[in-house]
Amino acid sequence: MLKSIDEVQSAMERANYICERSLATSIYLAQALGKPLLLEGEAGVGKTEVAKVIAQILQTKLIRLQCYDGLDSSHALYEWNYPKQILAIKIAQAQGETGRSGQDDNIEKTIFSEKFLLTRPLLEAITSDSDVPVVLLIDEIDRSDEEFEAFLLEVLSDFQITIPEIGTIKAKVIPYVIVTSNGTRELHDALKRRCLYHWIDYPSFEKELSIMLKKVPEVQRGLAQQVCALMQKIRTMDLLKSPGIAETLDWAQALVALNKEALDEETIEQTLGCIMKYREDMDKFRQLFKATSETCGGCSPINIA
Amino acid sequence: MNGNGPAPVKKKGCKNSSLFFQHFINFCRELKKEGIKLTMRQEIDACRALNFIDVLKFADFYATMKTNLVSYHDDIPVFDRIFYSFWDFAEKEQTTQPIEGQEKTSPQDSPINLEKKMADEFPLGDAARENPEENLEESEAPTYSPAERLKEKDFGDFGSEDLDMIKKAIAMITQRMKVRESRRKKASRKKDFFDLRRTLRKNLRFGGDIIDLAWKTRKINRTHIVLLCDVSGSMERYSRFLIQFLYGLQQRTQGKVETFVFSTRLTRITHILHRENFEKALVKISQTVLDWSGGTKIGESLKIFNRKYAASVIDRKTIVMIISDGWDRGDEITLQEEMERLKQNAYHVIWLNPLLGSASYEPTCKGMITALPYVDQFLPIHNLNSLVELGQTLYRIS
Repeated sequence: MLKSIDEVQSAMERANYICERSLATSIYLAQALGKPLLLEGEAGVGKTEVAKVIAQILQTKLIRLQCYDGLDSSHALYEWNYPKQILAIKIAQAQGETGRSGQDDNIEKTIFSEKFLLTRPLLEAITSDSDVPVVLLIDEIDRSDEEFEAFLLEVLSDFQITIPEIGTIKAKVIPYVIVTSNGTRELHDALKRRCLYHWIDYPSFEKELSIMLKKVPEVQRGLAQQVCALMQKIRTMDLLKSPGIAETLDWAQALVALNKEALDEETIEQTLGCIMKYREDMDKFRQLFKATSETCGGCSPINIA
Repeated sequence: MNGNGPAPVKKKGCKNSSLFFQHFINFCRELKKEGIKLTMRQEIDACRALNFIDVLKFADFYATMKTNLVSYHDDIPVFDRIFYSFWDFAEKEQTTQPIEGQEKTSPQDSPINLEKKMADEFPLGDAARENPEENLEESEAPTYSPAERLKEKDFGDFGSEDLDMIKKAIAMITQRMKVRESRRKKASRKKDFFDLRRTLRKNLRFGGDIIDLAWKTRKINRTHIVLLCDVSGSMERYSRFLIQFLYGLQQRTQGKVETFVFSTRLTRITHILHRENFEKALVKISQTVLDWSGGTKIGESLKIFNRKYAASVIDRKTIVMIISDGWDRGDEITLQEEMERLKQNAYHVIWLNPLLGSASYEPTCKGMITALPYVDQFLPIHNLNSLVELGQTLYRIS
């Protein structure tokens, strides 16, 4: 258990996750109040990482439910193990016990018992036996559809799941729930209000720099500063896809692998693919790059950034 | 965290804490007045949360209130503005610039000063203390954020420099209107997918031998949208923006939207908006639509639509949106007939009129009077707020 905001913050830092005090407050309160925590922000700002790090800190299991369009209860909650059920029926048949009515009920009871149940992430999180609450990560919920949100609402408000054939299963220990969303669509109001809310922004220059120095220790400080400054500038541009922290780290790793000690035009051109994923964005960047170097008489935009 | 325990609210005795809760309730009231919706549960949890933090630490108090009471990213600037003007806050200049990440600098700068102030029964801001309602409104003007100003700004007044800014806003709004094909499956006789679960249930009575098969198929969200957009001279102020809107809407709904523009004639531009990027599309549309910014013949244009396109793009689940100010130079009777036909065929007819945004506007022009009886929803479309309203309406009826 994490006992204070300070403890959360320092534990996160030890786990190599730099987090602001406001995020630490939300994480701490989510646990203290037993409420799910909804993290929103652009792709690549480290939302998913939060759940992983918490699981690591609490030394507990991380159960992850990756959302997608069409995700339904049989993939999120539970599914009956049909082949096993058929086998059970066949075996019963072979033993000559079926055919007579009255036996059917018995078989039905058997094959719709927990033995024949395949648990999916949500059910797994609820039925977990461990004393430390498991971390349930519901990732990219904005990719699922509204109907899925509706039954998620039931799970997250009462922490129970109803299976018609068996009954209602209630959580022994309330799991630590982290819900992430890229904000590609608005989530249902009722779901949002069940959760604590935190918006993770792109990192500031200082934060990104310290993340980079932590995660890519081989990188030289001067290069790291150049990269972070340029990233700050790139994020002010109107791009199809603004690069996140993940891209910054990829880029730093690539630069280290190429034995670069400073950014220059050629290096940027060679490695642009690390941070830009669309041709239109690359063109836009090159234009801006060219324009800035012309206006200030040959000095590169890296330096003014 | 300093060592004197996490619950100063309780320690300070009943009188002060009940005073605090009064302030807290007033604070929530201010938030609600500015359009931040709160449930009772959220308010209670916000108070419960105070037991777990050191309320004398301003940053923690702020983060706790925020994480409990805010549910939308858009609401953060509004929340910040009210928060800083409501709770007495040393760094007043921060209220004018509610930027993300400010909690880093704000609280620790003058902790002694703040702690002392917080300890003084959670004093309110000078303005709020005497007469909160009146004074808060006064202090509104300087803290009005640019984003909010933009939300109220008339589209007709947008210059080219604003276009980029609203592009993003529109993208966000259209995402909310996204009409999607459901990939969820439902039981059906159509043999698209095998339904093992139902098959097994059905065949239990045969002792496990599979005799009856059950099938399922994709459930399709069949709501379609047809946009008919007036690009005549009287709508010129808005057309730049409207094309942007149409483009955003169509790009995000992937072929579920049919788009037409009209002035004296009707032109289908669905295919253009679908394939090109925005700048190219704009050029191509102005090449294709020859009578851009000419006069308006709504009735005639609808007639072409009803004859030529309606059968293939409209069914009983289609929402038709007409964007026009209703200034019509065409024949009234034609307009009436065609509106009636359109209404019969479509599920819902929405008329969007940019003029409806001004308080003094009355639909007195002939075209509008003729068309109104056949319109299910008559909505403004003059600023970003009206778009949000449209998004909500679409979500509700589809």
